[in-house]
Amino acid sequence: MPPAAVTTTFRRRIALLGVLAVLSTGLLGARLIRLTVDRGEALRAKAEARLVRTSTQPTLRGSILDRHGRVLAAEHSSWEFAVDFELITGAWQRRQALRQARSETGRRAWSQLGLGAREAAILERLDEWNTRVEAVWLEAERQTGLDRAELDDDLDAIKRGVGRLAVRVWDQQLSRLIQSRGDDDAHESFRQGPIAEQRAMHVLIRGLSDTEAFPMRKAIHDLHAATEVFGASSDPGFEIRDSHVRERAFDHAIVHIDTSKFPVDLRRNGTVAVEVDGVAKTLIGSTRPTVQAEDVERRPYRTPSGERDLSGYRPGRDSVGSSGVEYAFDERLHGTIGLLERDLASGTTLLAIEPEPGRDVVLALDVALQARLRALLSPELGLLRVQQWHYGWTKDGMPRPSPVAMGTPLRGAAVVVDIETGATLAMVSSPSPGDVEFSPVERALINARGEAIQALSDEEQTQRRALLALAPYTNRVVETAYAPASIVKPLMYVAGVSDGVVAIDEAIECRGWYRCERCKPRCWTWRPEKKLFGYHGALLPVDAIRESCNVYFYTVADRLGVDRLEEWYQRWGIGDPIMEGVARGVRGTFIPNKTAIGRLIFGIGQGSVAWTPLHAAIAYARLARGGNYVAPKFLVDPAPTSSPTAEARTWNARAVEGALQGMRESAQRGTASSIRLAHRVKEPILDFDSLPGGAPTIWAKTGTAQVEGQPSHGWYAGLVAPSGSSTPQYAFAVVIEHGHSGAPSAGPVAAQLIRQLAAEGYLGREATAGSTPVEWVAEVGSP
Amino acid sequence: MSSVGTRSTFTARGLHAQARLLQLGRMRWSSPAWVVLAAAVALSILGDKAIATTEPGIAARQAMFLPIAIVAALLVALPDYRNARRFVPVMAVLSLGLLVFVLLPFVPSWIVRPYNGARRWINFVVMDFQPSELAKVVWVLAMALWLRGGGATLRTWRGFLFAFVVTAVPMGLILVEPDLGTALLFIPTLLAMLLVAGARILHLASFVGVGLILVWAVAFGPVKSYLKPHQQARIDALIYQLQGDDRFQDDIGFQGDRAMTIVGSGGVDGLGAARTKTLIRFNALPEEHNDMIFAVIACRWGAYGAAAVWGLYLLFAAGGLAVAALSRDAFGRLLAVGVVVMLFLQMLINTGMTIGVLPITGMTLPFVSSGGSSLVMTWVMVGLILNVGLRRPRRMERWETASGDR
Repeated sequence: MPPAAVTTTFRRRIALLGVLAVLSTGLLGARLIRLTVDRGEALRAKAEARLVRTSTQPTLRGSILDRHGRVLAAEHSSWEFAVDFELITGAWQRRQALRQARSETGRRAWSQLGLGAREAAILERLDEWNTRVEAVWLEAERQTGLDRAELDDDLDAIKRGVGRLAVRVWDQQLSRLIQSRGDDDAHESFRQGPIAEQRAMHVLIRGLSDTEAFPMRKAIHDLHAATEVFGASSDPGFEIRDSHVRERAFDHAIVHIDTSKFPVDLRRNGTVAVEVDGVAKTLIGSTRPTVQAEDVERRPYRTPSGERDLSGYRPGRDSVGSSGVEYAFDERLHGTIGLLERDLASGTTLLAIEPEPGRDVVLALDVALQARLRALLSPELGLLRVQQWHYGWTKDGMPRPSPVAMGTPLRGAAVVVDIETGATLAMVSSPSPGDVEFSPVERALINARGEAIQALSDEEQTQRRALLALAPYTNRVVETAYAPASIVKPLMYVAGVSDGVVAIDEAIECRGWYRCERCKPRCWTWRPEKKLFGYHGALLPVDAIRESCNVYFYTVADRLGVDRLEEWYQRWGIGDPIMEGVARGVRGTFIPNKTAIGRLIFGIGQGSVAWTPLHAAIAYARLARGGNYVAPKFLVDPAPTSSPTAEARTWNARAVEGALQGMRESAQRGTASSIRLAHRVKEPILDFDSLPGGAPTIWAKTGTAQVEGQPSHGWYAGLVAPSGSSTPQYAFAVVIEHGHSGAPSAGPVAAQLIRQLAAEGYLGREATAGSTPVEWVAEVGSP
Repeated sequence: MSSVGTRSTFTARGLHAQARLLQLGRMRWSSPAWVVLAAAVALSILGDKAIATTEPGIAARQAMFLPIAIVAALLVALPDYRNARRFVPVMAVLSLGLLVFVLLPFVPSWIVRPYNGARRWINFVVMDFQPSELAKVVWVLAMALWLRGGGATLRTWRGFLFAFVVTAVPMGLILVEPDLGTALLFIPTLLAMLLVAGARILHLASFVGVGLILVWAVAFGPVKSYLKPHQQARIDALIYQLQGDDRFQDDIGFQGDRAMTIVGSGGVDGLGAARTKTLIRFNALPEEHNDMIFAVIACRWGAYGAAAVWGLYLLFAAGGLAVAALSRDAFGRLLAVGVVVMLFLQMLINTGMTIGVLPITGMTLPFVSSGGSSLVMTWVMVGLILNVGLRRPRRMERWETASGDR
C-alpha cells in the first residue's frame, strides 16, 4: 500500500485539477451567457444583416440652366474603359499563364516540377494570353478610334505615375517604421508591398457610349471566360464601368464686339471676335467624382441614428458639388440613389426603391449676356487696361503720371439686375480663371504658407502680393467690397429728404470745402496741392448730383447723423443676406464712425463703409422702384426663400424723382457723361445715337473710391430703359479696381455693357439689329 | 508464471514482481473509465451531427472514421498499459523523427504538403497524418513514465525544471512547423502532471506566476513593442474584441468576429440546422466544420448545445481524473491525468477562441471537429484512459513510490 499521506496528497491534487476544470469551464460559461443572452439579439441581427445584399443604383445629377433654358451643366450616363495596373505591367498575363499551366499539368504533378520546368510551362502559354489581351485592345481601337501610339504613351504615363507614387508611399512607410522601430530594425524588416494603385484599375477612356462600350464589353467578357476556365473566379484585367460624366455647355464662346464706339484710342476696324472660356464657370462651380470625408460629414448616408438617407453620401465614387451653384444646391441637384435589398438565402427582394434624378436648377443668369460682358472685360479689347485718359493730361498737355505702366491689365467687375424682378442677368469678374494661367513658380508663390512666406525675398513678396490680387477665382461682383464713393450720392439725397433733414429743393452752397469741428473736408474741385481752388457755389439737389458735389452731401450726412446713416445704408441692402445660390458672397460693411470727419465722408460713400458691385446695382434698382423692396434673385427655380427686409420708413417719392433727375443729367452732361482724351478733347461716354431703335434712356452716376497709397477704384453705376421709355428697366454697376477715376475707367465699360444689353434684346427688338449673336464653341456636349 | 509454487530462493522483491505478473491482464469491469468512453462517444456523435449541418460529405467521412477510431481505442485499451513502458523510448524516437521529418526542406511537397505556410502534415494517401498528434500521446506516455517515481527529484528546482527542458524538445519542433496551438498544450499539461506527480506547490506557483508576468509583458508590457506588427495587431484585435469593439471585424479579427456572431446568434435555444447553415454560409465563417465547430453547435442548439459540450467534457474529465485517482499505479495515474488535461485544455482553448476570450490559434475541438487522423489519435488517448481504468488495481509498493522501479 502506498503511504496514506501520499495517496491523500495525490487525491487532493487530483481534486484541485477537477476544481480548476470546473472553474475554467464556468468562466467560459459566463462569457457564453453574455454572448447568447445579453447580446444574442444584437448578434443575430448582425448575422442576419449579412444575409441581405444591398445594392444601389446611381442617380443622375440634375442640370443647371440659364434663364432662357440653356443647359449649362448636365450629367450624362456613360461608360468608362479601365485597365488593371498588373495588365499594364504584364503581371496579369503571367498570372493567367501560370494558372493555365498549373491547371493543365495537374496540381500534384505541378507540385513536383522544378522551378525551371515551371517557368518553361508558363512562358509556353504567355503568348497565348498576350494575344487574348491584344484582342481587347484591338476592339478598343475599333470602337473608340484609339491611337495605339497614344495608348502606349498613356500606359507609360500610368506606369511612371504609379511608380513615382509607390516610391513616395514606401518612403513614408519606412520613415514611420524608423520612428517606431529604429533605423536598423526598420531597414531589416521593411518590405515594399504593393500600394493600392498597383492593385487598382486605371481609367483609360471616359464617356463611352452604349454602342462603343458593348462590343468592348463582349471582348472583355471573352477574355474573362478564358480566365475562368483555369480557375480564376474574379480576376478582371479590363473593365467597362458605369460612369456619369458632368458635361458643361455654353461655356466657351466667341463674342463679336463692335469697337466703333469704344474710346477713340481703342477703336479698331469694325468688329473684333473675342474668345471667352469658362463663361459662367465661377458661378456654376464644379463637381468632383469622389466623395470626401467632409461630404460624408455634411450629408451622411447613414444618419447618426443609423437611418439611411438615400440622398446622402457614402465614401467612394459619386458626383459631389464642390463650388458655386453645384455646391450651394448640391442636395437638390444630387438626387436620391436607388436601393435594392435581396435576401440571399431565399432570393426574394426585400426592398426596391427606384433612383430619383436630381432636380434642375434654373438661374436668373443670361449666359449669352454673361459671355458678352466677359468679352468686354477681356484685357484683349483694352477697356481693362491702364490708359492715359484714366489719369488725364495737365493744362500744358503733358500726361499726368501713373504709378503703373500704360497697358497694364486692370481688374474689375460688372453686374446687371432686372429692376422689376430683382433677377441678376449677368455677373462678370475679371480676371476669370480662363484668363490667367499661373506658372509653377507663380503657383508655388501663391500657395506659400507660414514660414515659407517669411523666407521669400522682397521681390518675391511683391510678386506674391500682385498674384494674390489677381484672384481669378474671386467673383468680385459678390466677393469683393469696395467703398461706394459718389455713386451713393443720389441715394443720400433721398435719405436726407425722406428723413426731413434736407428740403426737397434745398440749395446748399459749395465753397470748395466744408467746415466742421477740427476738420475741413473738401469738394473734389478744391485741390490746394494742385493749386486748384474750384467750387460749385449754391447748388440745387439735381445739380449737386449731376456735378457730384461733395459739400452738398457732407451737409446731408452731417444732418442725418451716424445712426440714421447706418439705417439708410442697411436699407440700401449693405447688410442683406447673400443671395441664395451664390457661393462665397460677402455682405457689405458699415462701421459707425462717430468722429465728425467719419460722419461727413459717409455722405460721399467713403470711410468705413464698403459694398459689392451687386449691392450697388440692387440699391439702384430699389431707387428705380421708388424704394420698393424686391429680393435680388440669382435663381428662378428654386424660388429664393429670402423675405423682404422690414421697411421702417418710406422713400420720399419726390426725392426719388429728384435723384433720378440728377442721375439723368449726370449721364447727359454731368460727371457721367464724358471723358477727356489727349489735348483735353471731350468724348461722350454714352453715345448711342447710332443704336438701331434709338438711344436708350440712361440714368448714371460715377464714383471714385479712394484707396490709400494706390490709385482709386472707379465706379460707374446706373439705370437703363429702352429708347423712349422713362421707366428704368435694368440697373447696372461697373467697378474697375485701381482705375484711378470713375468716369474714365468704368464709364466706357458701362457704355459697352449697355450696348451688349441692347444686342441681347433687353432694350427692344429693334436694338438687336446689326449685332452678331454669341457664337458657342463645342456646344455639342449640351443635351 | 511457472516459477510460482516452485521451491526456489525467495526474495520480497521477487515475490512482488511475481505477484504483479499474476495481476497483468486482469480486468476491472466496474470503472469510471466507462464514463470517459460514454462522454467521448457522445461528443463524437454530437460532433458528427454538427459537421453535417454545413458539410454532410465530411460528416459521412467522419462517421466512417469513428468506428475505426473506437476500434483503435479498444486495441489500445486491451493490452496492459504497463507493458507499453518498454516501447516508450522507441515511440519517442519515432515521434521525434517524424517531427523532424516534416521540417526537412528537401522532402517533396507531395509527401509533406505545406498548408498556409505550415509543414504539419504527412500525406498517407488515404488520409493526412499530423506527427504532432502522435507526439502529444507519446510525450504524455514518456512524461508519465519519467515522472512516475520521481517524487523526490521533482521536489528540487533542478528536477522540476528538467521536465521542462525535456518537454522543450517536441514542443520546439512543433513550434517551428509552426503549430502554436498544439505547442501551447504542452506546458499546462506538464504543470498538471507535475502537480499530480508530487512537485512542490511553491515551484508550480512560481512558474505560473512567471508565466502570467510574461503573458502580461507580451500583451501589454514592454515585450509587445518587439513583436512583429501582425502579432501586435492580433493582440490589439483580441483586446478590442473583448471590449466589444469590432473595428477589426473585417480585417485581422474577421474569424473571431464571425465566430462570436454565430455563437451569439444561436441564443439560448438555437436556430436549428437549416437556419444555422444559412447564417454560417452568408457570414462566411471559416473552418466551420473544423476549428469553428463549437460555433456551429452553439448556433444550432443554442446555449444548451454549448453547455452540453462543456458538460460532456466535464464528465470526461471527471471520469478520467477518477480513473487516475483509483489507479494504484503511478504511471497509470500520470498517464490518465496527462491525457485528460491535454484534451480538456484543447477544448478550453478551442471554445475560448470561438467565444472570443482567447486568440485564434488553429486548434481543433477533440472528438467534435472533423479530421480523421485527429479523431483516431484522440480516441487512442481515450483507449489509454480505458486501459488504465480497466486494469485491476494492485498494491503499490513503498519502493515504487519512494525511488521507483526503473
